[in-house]
Amino acid sequence: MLCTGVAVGVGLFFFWLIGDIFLKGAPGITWEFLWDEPENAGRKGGIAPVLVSTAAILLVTLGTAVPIGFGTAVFLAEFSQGKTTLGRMVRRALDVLASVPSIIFGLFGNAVFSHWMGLGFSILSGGLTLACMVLPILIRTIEAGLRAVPLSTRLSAAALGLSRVAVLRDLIFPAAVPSLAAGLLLGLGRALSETAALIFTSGYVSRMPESLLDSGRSLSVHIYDLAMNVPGGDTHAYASAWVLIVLLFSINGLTALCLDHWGKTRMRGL
Amino acid sequence: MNKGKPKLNQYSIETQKLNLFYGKTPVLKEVNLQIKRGLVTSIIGPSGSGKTSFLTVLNRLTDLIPAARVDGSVFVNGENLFAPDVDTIQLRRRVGMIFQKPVPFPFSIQKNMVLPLREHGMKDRRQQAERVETVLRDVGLWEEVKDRLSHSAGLLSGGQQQRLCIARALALKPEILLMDEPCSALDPISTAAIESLIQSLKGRYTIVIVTHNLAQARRISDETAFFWNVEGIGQLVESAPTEILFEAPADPLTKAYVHGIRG
Ligand SMILES: Nc1ncnc2c1ncn2[C@@H]1O[C@H](COP(=O)(O)OP(=O)(O)O)[C@@H](O)[C@H]1O
Ligand SMILES: [Mg+2]
Repeated sequence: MLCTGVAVGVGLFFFWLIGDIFLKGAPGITWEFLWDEPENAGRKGGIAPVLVSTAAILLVTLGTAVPIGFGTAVFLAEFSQGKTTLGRMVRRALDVLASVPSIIFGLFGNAVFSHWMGLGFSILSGGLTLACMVLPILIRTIEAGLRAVPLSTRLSAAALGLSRVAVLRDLIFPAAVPSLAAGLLLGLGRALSETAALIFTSGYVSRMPESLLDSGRSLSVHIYDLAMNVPGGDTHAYASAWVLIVLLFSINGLTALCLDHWGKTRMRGL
Repeated sequence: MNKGKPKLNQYSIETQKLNLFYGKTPVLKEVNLQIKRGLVTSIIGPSGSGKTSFLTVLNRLTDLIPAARVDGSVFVNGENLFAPDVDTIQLRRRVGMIFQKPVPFPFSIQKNMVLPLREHGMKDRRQQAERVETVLRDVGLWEEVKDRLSHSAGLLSGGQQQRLCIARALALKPEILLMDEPCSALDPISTAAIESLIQSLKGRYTIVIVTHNLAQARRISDETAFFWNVEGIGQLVESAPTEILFEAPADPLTKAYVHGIRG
């Protein structure tokens, strides 16, 4: 009874929050809003450069996190039999990293990418910082997927004289695709809603970026800035939040669709 | 120097003082067994007497089990199995293995058959197709699947899956086929199909088959080896031509087991 009440409460709260943003944000959503540059610190105009920066930051994040994450996960699951010191160290480190607050990643990214590597406040710095931030989740999810391939499959493959490479390519990687997608969803969601780590790395310049080395303001930073620093920025803050939530929902839905599709193909497979 | 290889003899496989450990636990102790070329040798014995473990030594699948450690010697066609220059990939092509539970890979029948062929260097589509048809006919599966090679292997029945796995191994033209209770999950009709398949392979292949079914061992094998658990460690009690092992065993333990008194 109590549990049902709590569950209903949580559900209602969720709809209230989303409903609030949708109601207050919807009037601000126009083609101009999506298409124009911000004016008057964002009170007027649109969010085109912000969308472009956000996309660029996410691309940098994915472009680096996916290959590194996949490689590390394959190493952990396939080449360190759970007992090697290196494997254990990496796993421990990842578990700690996964719980580090994003502001710490922001400071780290600022020190390493912005200053030490000389990338300054830029989309590149921001994307790389987010990559560091989402890597732990991504790696651990992919690793779990790789490990889920049963020993019987591996033994049968080996008994046919299949090489390590063939086993990875034809049996293990395909089995890990759904978990890669799930890890990406978690990672992308976290990256898309990240503010703290980006303020120190990609900065908040709201002009249209011309290269990855330009500073670029992400959607969440834009919302934060409008809500906290710009009196009268509420309407556009809500409209931007509307866009952010729609994006998050689409990523969610898309991933669910993909997982469903793969799930079915694999079920047909075995 | 030919590295002191013993001459090719009548034995396909010969183990000498073979011991196997998982971690610190001994699983097989001092197994000395000779398996004759071209014959069917069955291995019988109670659960946990190390029969499966013994088979996995013979194609070095034990390499994949981190804790497994082997000592003693094993010769396959007179060559030392654990010599440093042994190519395990080639070895496993020559020594095929069928598992208790069929493990079709999660893709089409066609790809299940072709993937190992391609990996072993057969790139030509026509050759592949011919080989696939031949072995699928050998296992009596061709008529049943020829129109749905592109269907998922997971959709086949248990008996068909097991025959697919056998065909997949045969396609690589192995010299030795290790079968670990290949019929234990199958219905009587599928079992009969696999038994007659084994009969038809006799002579062309050396077959080692683990079975719990004593009647099956008598029906299909020329030689039988009996494993028993001594204080938790698997040992070979006796091996002999099947008739002799069942009718006039040398060891009282064997006699008791084949008459169903123990185990
Ligand atoms: N991978 C493994 N790690 C540790 N112990 C194992 C492993 N595989 C089998 N064993 C143990 O080795 C013994 C022999 O098992 P097995 O070879 O499967 O016997 P059988 O096939 O005759 O039933 C059993 O006690 C079993 O628990
Ligand atoms: Mg067994």
